[in-house]
Amino acid sequence: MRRDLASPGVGLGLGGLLGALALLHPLALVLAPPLALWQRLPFLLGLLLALGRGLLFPIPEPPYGARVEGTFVVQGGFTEWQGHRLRLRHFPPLEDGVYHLRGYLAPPEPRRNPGGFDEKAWLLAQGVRGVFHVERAALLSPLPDPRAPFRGRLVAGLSPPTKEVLEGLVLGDKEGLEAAYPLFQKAGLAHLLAVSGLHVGFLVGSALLLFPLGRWRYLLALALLPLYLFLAGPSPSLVRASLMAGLSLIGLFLGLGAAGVIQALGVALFLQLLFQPEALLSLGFQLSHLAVLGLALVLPALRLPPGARGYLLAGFAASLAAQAFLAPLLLHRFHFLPLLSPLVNLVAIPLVALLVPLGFLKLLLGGALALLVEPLARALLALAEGVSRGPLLWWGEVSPWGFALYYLGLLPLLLALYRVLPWRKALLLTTLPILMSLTASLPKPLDLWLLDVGQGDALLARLGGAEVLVDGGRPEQGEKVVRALRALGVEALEVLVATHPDADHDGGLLKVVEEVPVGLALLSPAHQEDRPLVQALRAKGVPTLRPGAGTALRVGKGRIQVLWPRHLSHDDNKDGLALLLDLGRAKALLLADLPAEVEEKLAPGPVEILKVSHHGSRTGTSEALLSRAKPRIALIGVGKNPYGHPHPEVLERLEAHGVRVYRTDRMGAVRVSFGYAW
Amino acid sequence: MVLGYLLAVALLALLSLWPKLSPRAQPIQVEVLVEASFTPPALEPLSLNRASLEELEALPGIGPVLARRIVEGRPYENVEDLLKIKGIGPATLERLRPYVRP
Repeated sequence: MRRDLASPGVGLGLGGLLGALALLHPLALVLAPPLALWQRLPFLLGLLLALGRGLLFPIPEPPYGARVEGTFVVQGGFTEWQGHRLRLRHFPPLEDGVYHLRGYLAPPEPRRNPGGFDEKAWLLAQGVRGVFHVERAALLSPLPDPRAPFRGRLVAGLSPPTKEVLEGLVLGDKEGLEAAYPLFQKAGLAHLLAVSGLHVGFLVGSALLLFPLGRWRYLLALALLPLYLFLAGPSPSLVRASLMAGLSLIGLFLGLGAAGVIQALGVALFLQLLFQPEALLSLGFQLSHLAVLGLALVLPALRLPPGARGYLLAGFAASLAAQAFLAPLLLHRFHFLPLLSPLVNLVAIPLVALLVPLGFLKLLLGGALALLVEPLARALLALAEGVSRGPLLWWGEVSPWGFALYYLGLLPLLLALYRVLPWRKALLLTTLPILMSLTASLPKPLDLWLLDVGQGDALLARLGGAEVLVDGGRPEQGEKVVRALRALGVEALEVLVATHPDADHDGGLLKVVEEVPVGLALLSPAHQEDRPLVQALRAKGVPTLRPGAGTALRVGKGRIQVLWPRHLSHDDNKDGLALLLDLGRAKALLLADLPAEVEEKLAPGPVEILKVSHHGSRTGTSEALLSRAKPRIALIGVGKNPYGHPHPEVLERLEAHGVRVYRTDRMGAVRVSFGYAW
Repeated sequence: MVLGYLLAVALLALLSLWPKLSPRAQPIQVEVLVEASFTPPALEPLSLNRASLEELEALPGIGPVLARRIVEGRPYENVEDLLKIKGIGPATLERLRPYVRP
C-alpha cells in the first residue's frame, strides 16, 4: 500500500486537488511544501497544471444587469450567450428547445440562510457565473431529445413509481422522484440514485464476459463508456467512474494490467479538475471521490474469510468504509446520517445488482422485461420506505477544523489496519481528536438569527444551549426554517413562539412543529383552537400557553419576558405578543406586527436590539418608542412585497436615532452574536 | 510521528476553540449572509395596448383582476387614460408610470 500511495497517479491527483483548492482559497498553498516533499514531481506537475488552467482560463464574468434579447438554444435549463454559459430563470422552467427570449443577466444567488441552497457555488461548480432572468419567452421550435427512445424503452410497461426509481437507478435522473428521494436519503440509499462506479462496473463487467472476443472485449467495454455518458449525462460521479474504468481498460488492452484503484482515482481527480477546477465545489464530485477513496484505502487491507461469509463481510466493510469517509460531509450538507445504512445496503446492493443490468437491457429491449423489473423495483422502494423511519444521527454544519479533526481521528485507525500501529495505540490516539471536538462543542453560542423568509418574520434565539424560535414566515417557508435549524445544530426547540395568527408569522411554524421537537409553545390569545398550528401542537402533545404581559420564563442562559398583550382588543395585530429577550449581555425587543398605539404603552427600558414591528411598516416604530428603547441595532424581516415595507419614514426615523438597520431582503439572514456560554 | 500527530490535534483544537475562549466582554457582532445585493435593471416600459395579461400582472400593484380590466379598457392614448379603470387611482398611476407606455 505504501508503494501504491507513492505512485505518480496519486501525486498528480493530490497536485490537481491542491491547485483547485488554491484557486478558491490561496492560503491552501501552505500545504504545498510538505506534499511536494512526499509526492515529488507528479505532485508539482499536477499543482502547476491545475493552477495554470484556472489562472490562464478563468470563467469569464458575464455583464450583470445587461438586458439581453435574441434567439437561444435551451438545454437542461442552461443556454449559451456570447461565450457565457448561463442558467435560465423562468417560471415554469423552460423545456428544451429553441426560444426567442428577453430578459436580463444577474449574478447567481449566494446562500441566504444557514443550510440554504447556495446557487452561486452550485453553478460555479458547473462553470456557470450568470443567471438569465427571462421576462418573456416564445418557443420557436422544440428540441428533440435523441435519448428519448432509450428512455421510452427503459420505462415501457412500468407503473409510475417504479418508472421513476428505474430512471434514477439507471440514468441518475432524479427529477421524477420528488416524494421518494427523501425516503432514499433517510434510508442511506440515495447513493444508488447517482450513477457511479457501481453502474459502470456492471456495464463494463457484462462486456468483459464476452470472453471469445479476447483482448478486444476491453475495447468494446471502453466504447460503452461514452455511450453511457451520453445517455445518463456527465454527472461528476459518472465522469469519475468512467475515467477510472477507461484507464484500467486501456491498461488491460495494452497488456499492462489494470490500474490500481487508488492510482486511477488520482488520475481521474486530476483530469476532472484540470478540465474544470471549480468542479471541486460540486457535492456529487466530493462525495464520489471521498467514497472511492474510503473503499480503496480500507478494502485491500482487510483479511476476509473465503466463501459467502467473506463476501458478506466485504460488502458490509465496503459500505462502512465509504460511510466513514463521507460522514462529516453528509452531516455538514444534509445534517443527518442514517445509522442503519451499512446494513440496509447489504440488502439493497444485490437488488440493484439485478436491477441495473436489467435496466441496461431494457434500454434496448423495452417492455419485454417489465414483468421482471417491476417487482424488483417495488422491493427496493419498499425497502427505502421501511428503513427511512430508522434511526438518524442529527448534526449541524461542520467547521473546517471539525473536518480536519475528524479525518485526523480516522488516520490512526487506518494505520492500525495496515499494521503500522498496534490497535491499542491507534484507539488511544483516535480518542484525542474526538475529545477535542467534544470540548470545542461545549461552549454554546449566544446569538440571534433573523432568518430570511422573504416577506415575513422568523427569529431564532440561541440562549446558551436552549433555543427559542419566534415565528416562522409563510407556510412555504417552513422547510427553509427547518433546514436552518438543522444547519445550526438545533435538535429541539425549548420554546416556540407564534406572536399572532398571520400567515407570514405562524405559517411556517406548522412544518417546524412537524419536524422538530418542541418543549413549550407560546401562542397569542388571538390563536383560535381551529388554527392548523394549534391543532398540530395538540396532536404532538406540546404544552401551550397563551401568556399576557408579566409572564417571564427562564430559558437556557437567558430570559423571555412577555410585555404585551395587557388586554384584548380582538384585532390580530394588536393582540400580538411583544417579547423582551434578555441574553445576559444584551436585551432584544421583538415587536411582531404591533402598531404604534401599543408601542406607546410598552415600557421595555433601554435595549440593544429591536426587531422592528410589522416589517418596517409606518404603522409602527414610532418616535416615542425609539427614544425610550434606544436600540443600537434594528432588524427588519422583509422580502419583496406590494405594501412598500420597509417604509422610508421608518428608515429615516431609525437613521435619525443612529440605529444600524439590517434587513433580510438585502442581506439575507442576519446573525447578531453575543459570544459563547460555557 | 506520534508527537507530530499530537501537535496537529492540539493545533486544530486550539483553532476551533479560539473564538469561543476569548475573554468575557466581547462587543456585539453582526454578520450578514449576503454581502452585496444585486438590483435588477429597470424594466423597459410595457405597452399598455399590446402587453399580455401575464406581463401586466407582473407590474407592481397589479393583480389578475386589474390586469384583465386594463386589457378590457384598451386602447389607451396616453398613460393617464389608466385613471378611467376602476381600481386604479392617482397613487397607483404614479407607481406604474415608470413601467408603462401607451
